[in-house]
Amino acid sequence: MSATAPLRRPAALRLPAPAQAKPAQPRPRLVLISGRRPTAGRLPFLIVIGAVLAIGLVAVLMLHMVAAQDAYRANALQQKLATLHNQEQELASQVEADSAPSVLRHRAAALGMRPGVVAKFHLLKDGRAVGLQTPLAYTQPAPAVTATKAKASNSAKSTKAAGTKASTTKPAKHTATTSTTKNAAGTTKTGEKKKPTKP
Amino acid sequence: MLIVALMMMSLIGGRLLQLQGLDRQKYAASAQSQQLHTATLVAKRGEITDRDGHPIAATVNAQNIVADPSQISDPVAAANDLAPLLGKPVDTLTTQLDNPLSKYALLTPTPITPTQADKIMALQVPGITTQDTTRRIYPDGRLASNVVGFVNASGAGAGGLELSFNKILAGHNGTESFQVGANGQPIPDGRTSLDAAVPGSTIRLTIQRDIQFAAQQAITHQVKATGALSGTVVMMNPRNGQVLALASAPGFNPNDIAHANPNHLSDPAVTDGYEPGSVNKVITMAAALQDKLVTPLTPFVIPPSIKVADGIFHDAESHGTEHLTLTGILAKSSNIGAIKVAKKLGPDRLDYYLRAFGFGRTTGIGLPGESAGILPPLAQWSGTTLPTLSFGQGVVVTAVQIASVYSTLANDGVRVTPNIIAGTAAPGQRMTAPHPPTKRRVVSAATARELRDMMEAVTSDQGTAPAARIAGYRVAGKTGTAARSNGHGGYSGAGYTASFVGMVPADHPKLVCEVVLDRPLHGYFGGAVAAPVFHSVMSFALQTLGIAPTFTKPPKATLTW
Repeated sequence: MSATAPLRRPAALRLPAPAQAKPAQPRPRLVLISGRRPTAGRLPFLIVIGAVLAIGLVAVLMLHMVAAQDAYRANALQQKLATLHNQEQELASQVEADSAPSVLRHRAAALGMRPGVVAKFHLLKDGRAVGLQTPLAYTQPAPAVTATKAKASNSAKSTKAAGTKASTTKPAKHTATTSTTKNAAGTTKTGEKKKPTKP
Repeated sequence: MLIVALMMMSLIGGRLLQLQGLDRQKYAASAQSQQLHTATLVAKRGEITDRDGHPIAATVNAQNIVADPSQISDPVAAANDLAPLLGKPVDTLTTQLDNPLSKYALLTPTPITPTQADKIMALQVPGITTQDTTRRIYPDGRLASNVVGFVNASGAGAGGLELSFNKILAGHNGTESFQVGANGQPIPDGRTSLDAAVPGSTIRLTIQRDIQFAAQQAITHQVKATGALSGTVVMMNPRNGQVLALASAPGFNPNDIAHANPNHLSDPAVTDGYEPGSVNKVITMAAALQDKLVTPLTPFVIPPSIKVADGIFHDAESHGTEHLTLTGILAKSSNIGAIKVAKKLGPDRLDYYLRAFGFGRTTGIGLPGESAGILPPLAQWSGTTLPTLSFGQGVVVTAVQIASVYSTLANDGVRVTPNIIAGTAAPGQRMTAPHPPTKRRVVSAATARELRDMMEAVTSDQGTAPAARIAGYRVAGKTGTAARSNGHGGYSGAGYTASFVGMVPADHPKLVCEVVLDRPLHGYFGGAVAAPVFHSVMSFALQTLGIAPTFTKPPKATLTW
């Protein structure tokens, strides 16, 4: 304001005289003010600081909790992953074990299959054919295959025999043991049911 | 009062100084050791697979069950719970669980699968814990076990490729340190250091598992049927020297090494030497043909016996004077004929060709314990060495050496180093092939072709091995029926080594197969006991690999004149 005052002076000159006389009027008196006034404003500041600290603390606590929780979860998931890995591995090795040539051969033989034949080849040019379509004379234990077959049919026969035997002997036994509680029809029924599983 | 207080203060201060200042490191270390646990991370051993990637040896995660008797208050109850799952009698288990000295002793003799371990841990028996480990499994048991070998109880290679490639297969164990709570449980996220384990590399073989299996089946059967001591089958691709099958019988089951016969743990195809007998005649003839001393039709007069130096030599079957061509000598496997050819050749050239075909040194196949065989140095030859070598006695070879000789002839005279490793792959990386096998010309393509034509006569009705014929295909080969050394400088009473080596199709060979039977008792001629095995394995391999016949006619063989 003081800097602009000289510039305004010409205008001020044109003002009426009383205006010039006014500065002599009473100025506000300077008084000492009390030093206590600021203390009233410190409390909110402390509350703010406290709140910030508290929030910070809680936030850190929460972060820690979340981190710990995540660590537990990660741990659990890792364990699950390991278990699944192990399962996958066990299944994969099961597949490998089942597809091993010796196992396949054994199973094929059990199904009555036999080693392959030499393919017949045809020459497209003139239709000539070579090769044979009879089983290889030698591709391994043909006797073993027939042996297991024979065994299988034997055991089947013996099961049958056992079954027929059971049918003649079983009901008698059953009636003997259960005659006190069940009627004859009930016992023969259970006797029949048991036949196939017994031998 | 003040003095007492001061004394107390200084006492406390002194103690503080001692704990914090002087013994600080000791206590810090002991706290560290209580809180910090370091575990070994077991590196997974690399697989050994066949040429198509089917594992022949694999490693799976497994677990050991261990017990801490100090934490078991009721051993009887614990034993009762555990016995059925561990497959152990209750009383032995009770004794073990009751014995404080058995702390952390294994409750399972061999590691068990994680699923089995989970079942045991589900019982929640206090003091029972698991240890992570791995287990080596051989999915098809005996398949190629002679090649692949086996591992010892601690999982390190102890035989075969498992031993010779142990460094590559094993990888490096790692360690992991983490903080543990009061009960020893790991604190989540409390890991302080991790030195991850580096798994071992995978090794891929050139073996084809189906052919290997067929070869093993056939040779096992024939060894039993003929009462032989052992038998070997080698199947090779002559173009690249790759071994498709290397079977031997009797073998062993690497899954149950404890019950295997220690004498059956090696790979006889490379470790065991034998005198090849007549299969060696092709070298004598290849040499003479290559040096232009004879042609397949060169006539020879074969007397009933022949005297060279101080030795008199006969043929396997006695005969009068015969008039055979070179082809006839090979087809009828005449020792006297071979001697006559060798005499034209002379010791220097025979020695040269025997060595050129790979005798007297290892083949370079890269299998452990390979024998070089025995070829006497030229300087030590006596008057009878030349005739004896001409028909394959007095020289010791391995089955792979002979297979390599025939592969050379099948590959138009170029010897390709036999190989059985198709490649290795570090974990997560591509398969890298080993150096390509070295190639070296031994005889000309023309000589090799002439010999193959001659060898077709062997499987004709007039030859020694009609049993080797495969319908539709042209089969060339040679039988061997060698006298076995009795270990006392002679041959009497030691029986024979019967063999057959052949190639199909004869005019453009794709496969070479060798069958050796050591001392068969029921029949001993190569054509009678070894050729049928060749027929079986070769038919199967042709079928499996889809090799078509060539639709050509064999040349008319002239055996006599």
